[in-house]
Amino acid sequence: MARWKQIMLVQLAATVMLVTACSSNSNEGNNGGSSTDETGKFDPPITVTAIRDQPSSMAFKEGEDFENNNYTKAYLEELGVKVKYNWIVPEDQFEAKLNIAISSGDLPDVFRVNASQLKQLVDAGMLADLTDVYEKYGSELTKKSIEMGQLAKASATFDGKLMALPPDEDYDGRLSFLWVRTDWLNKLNLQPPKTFQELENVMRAFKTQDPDGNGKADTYGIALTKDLYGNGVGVSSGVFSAFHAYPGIWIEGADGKLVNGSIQPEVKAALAKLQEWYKEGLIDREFGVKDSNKVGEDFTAGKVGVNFGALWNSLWPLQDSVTNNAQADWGVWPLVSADGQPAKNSVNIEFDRFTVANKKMKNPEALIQLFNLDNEKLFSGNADATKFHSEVVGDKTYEHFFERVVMDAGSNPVGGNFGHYKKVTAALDANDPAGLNPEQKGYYDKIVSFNGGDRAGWGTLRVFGHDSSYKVIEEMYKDKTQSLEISKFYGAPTKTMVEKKATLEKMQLETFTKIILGASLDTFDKFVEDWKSLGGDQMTTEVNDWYATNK
Amino acid sequence: MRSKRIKEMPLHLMLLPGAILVLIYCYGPMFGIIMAFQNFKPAFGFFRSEWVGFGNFTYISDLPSTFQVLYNTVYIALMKIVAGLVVPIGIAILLNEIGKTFIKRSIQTLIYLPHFLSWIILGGILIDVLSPSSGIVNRVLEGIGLPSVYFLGDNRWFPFTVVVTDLWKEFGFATIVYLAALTSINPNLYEAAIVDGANRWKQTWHITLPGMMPIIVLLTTLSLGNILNAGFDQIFNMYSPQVFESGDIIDTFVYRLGLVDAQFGPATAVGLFKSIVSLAFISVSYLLAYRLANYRIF
Repeated sequence: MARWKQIMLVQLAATVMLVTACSSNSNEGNNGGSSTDETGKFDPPITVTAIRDQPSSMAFKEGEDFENNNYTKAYLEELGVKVKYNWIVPEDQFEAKLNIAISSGDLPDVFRVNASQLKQLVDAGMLADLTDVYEKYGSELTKKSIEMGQLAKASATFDGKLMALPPDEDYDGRLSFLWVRTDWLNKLNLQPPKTFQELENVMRAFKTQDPDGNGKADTYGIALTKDLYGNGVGVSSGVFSAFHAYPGIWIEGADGKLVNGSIQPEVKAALAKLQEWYKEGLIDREFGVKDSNKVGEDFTAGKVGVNFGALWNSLWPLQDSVTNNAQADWGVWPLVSADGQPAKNSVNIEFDRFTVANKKMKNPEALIQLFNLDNEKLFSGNADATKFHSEVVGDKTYEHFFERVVMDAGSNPVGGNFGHYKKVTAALDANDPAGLNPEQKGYYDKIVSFNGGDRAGWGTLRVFGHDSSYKVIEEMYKDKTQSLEISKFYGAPTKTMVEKKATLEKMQLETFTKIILGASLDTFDKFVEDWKSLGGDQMTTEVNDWYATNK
Repeated sequence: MRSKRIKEMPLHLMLLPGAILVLIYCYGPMFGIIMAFQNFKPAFGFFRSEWVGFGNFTYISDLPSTFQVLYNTVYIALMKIVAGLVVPIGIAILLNEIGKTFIKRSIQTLIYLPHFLSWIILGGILIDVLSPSSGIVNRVLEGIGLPSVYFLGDNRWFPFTVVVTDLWKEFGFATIVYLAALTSINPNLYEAAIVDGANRWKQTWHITLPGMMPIIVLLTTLSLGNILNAGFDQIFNMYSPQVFESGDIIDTFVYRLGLVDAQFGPATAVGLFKSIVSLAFISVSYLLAYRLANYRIF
């Protein structure tokens, strides 16, 4: 079920790592003759051990493999570093295999860990302190890519020491958007909703006025999945945000202390509204058993025309509805508010991928130098996209960027997906794709083919084209903290969180679902009491202790 | 004596790979039970993780939902065990009465088919089939004047829905085992019974059922060990927040505890608890089988 969603996320994540080749100086060769850090070259060459997960989509060119490719050649020639992989497993087995490696103490020199593994390893004193080597050896691009994400960097810092290279801080993928069937709006002579009241009117019209014109009352108002929040399709966060409620994240209370968004009184108001909608039939009577896949079927069958979801929803599941119905079209808008205050998009930032160096590693600076070289080959003026990013040979694409040793560290120093959006729309305006890299050209071609009548290109149009989710980001959410509510807690899970969070989350989901289905609103007050006594208060204390030192 | 041992040597050697596999994959990992008594952290491993004694067990019993989960598990598993014994035996006897081989085989194959579908697929299909607004089951109920039922969303119905759908999926497979047992009954017994004037019912009661008794006792004994197995795949794909109250079972609970939350210690403690209860049940039922039916597996 979650397969498609995963593919979407992986695609997006992969594109984040793309080169945005500067059109002005893209003709320079990658070697350029000016190897800047001769001083950093190891002589004689050293061997650095690592471990890897292999993405299912990854393919090597004939004769190449993980230890023999453009990157390893550059590592050896320019840095004097020979990379050796202790083991390589398919993506889905990496976590388990790494847990075993950690418990048996059989760790390589450099490797990737998740947040709780990072904390354990730091506590066990098994990691090298990177503070000094980062300062001394980090290149300009490396520092830019790390410093761009101050929160991410903080999450990799323990007692003032940098213990890991932090991941990307980009949270565009976590935002929620309002997706509405525009062909239905036009048919019923309605305007795109700008306020919550207008949204309710649209939902009512979509339910009662037969927007699909089949003469049957078989449509409902808004999509919702049994997961309520999360998963990025049919989420309720748009409704919570309209009432300034932010369940699931830690927000600052009136006294400056952190409080959990799930137990605030605003949540109750939003639940009351959802309950009212359910009673009225605006929400599918059976939403409580439907996952995002099942709700996707409802989009395709033309049963529902309003959806709160992530920026990639047009690629899936909405694309199917457009492919299967010659009239269907969806527009994307920012969230709406139920009162005069603007609605804020709830952003739960969680950092879960860190690149670390083993304490036993003789030359921890090699990790920084490897990362320097990756950045230089991908993002600098000497970037060579076909050699180090991706290469198309015949009908096959070789994604060389997967061959890097340091895969998930730092933000894209030259812009990421948002950069693609700017480039693609500029090229569309100019009618000239000359300055685009292969990835961007792919998006450009799909949008052009949609304009030429191929409806399969629609999903890309609504992400990277004009009138797309990235346009909404540009106008509403990019660096505009007044329209974002970002979780104030982004550290490793606290002790009580590890023990109690799952239980509390289950209780929350159960309670919220029951209230939407018609249980008394007083149930919410009881939930708040239980939440506090079953570990919530303890979590709040721990989170505030963390906040006091990481503010 | 000596020559006998040499003669049997190849047989023992043939047993060896199996025995080694069992040792490596069943007995070896039992060392991991130690996690149930530790605050296990992968970075510290088995030897350096903090020893907490029975701390994980008290932690589990203090969690608010534990007893509801235990009750749900036993309730659903018991119904599954009983239904999973009675129905296949009945169907096997009925099938055995069908004279035409072609019809018998066709029915056998048809009821056997759902066994090959995974719960992932069936989960999706059942949501559609049992839907109160558009599902075929509720259309039929309405057609005969009954109110529609929200099988997957109503706490009163959910456990029965789980049992019936599991039965539908698996009874064909179980039936085959009993049909095999039926073929081993000596046909002379039936001939003799007919000569003595026994009708079909009498034949079933006095020949077929006693003939099947060893296999029935065997399977009952083995199934009692499943008293705490209510079926993870199935429930995980069919439950939803609104039926957590009646549908959350030990396995889904452990899944959230161990795999979602990485609390390996408590998750192992629950697993150990399950194993001990299962061992107790199997031992007791084995003893009962020996006393009552004079049947020994080993």
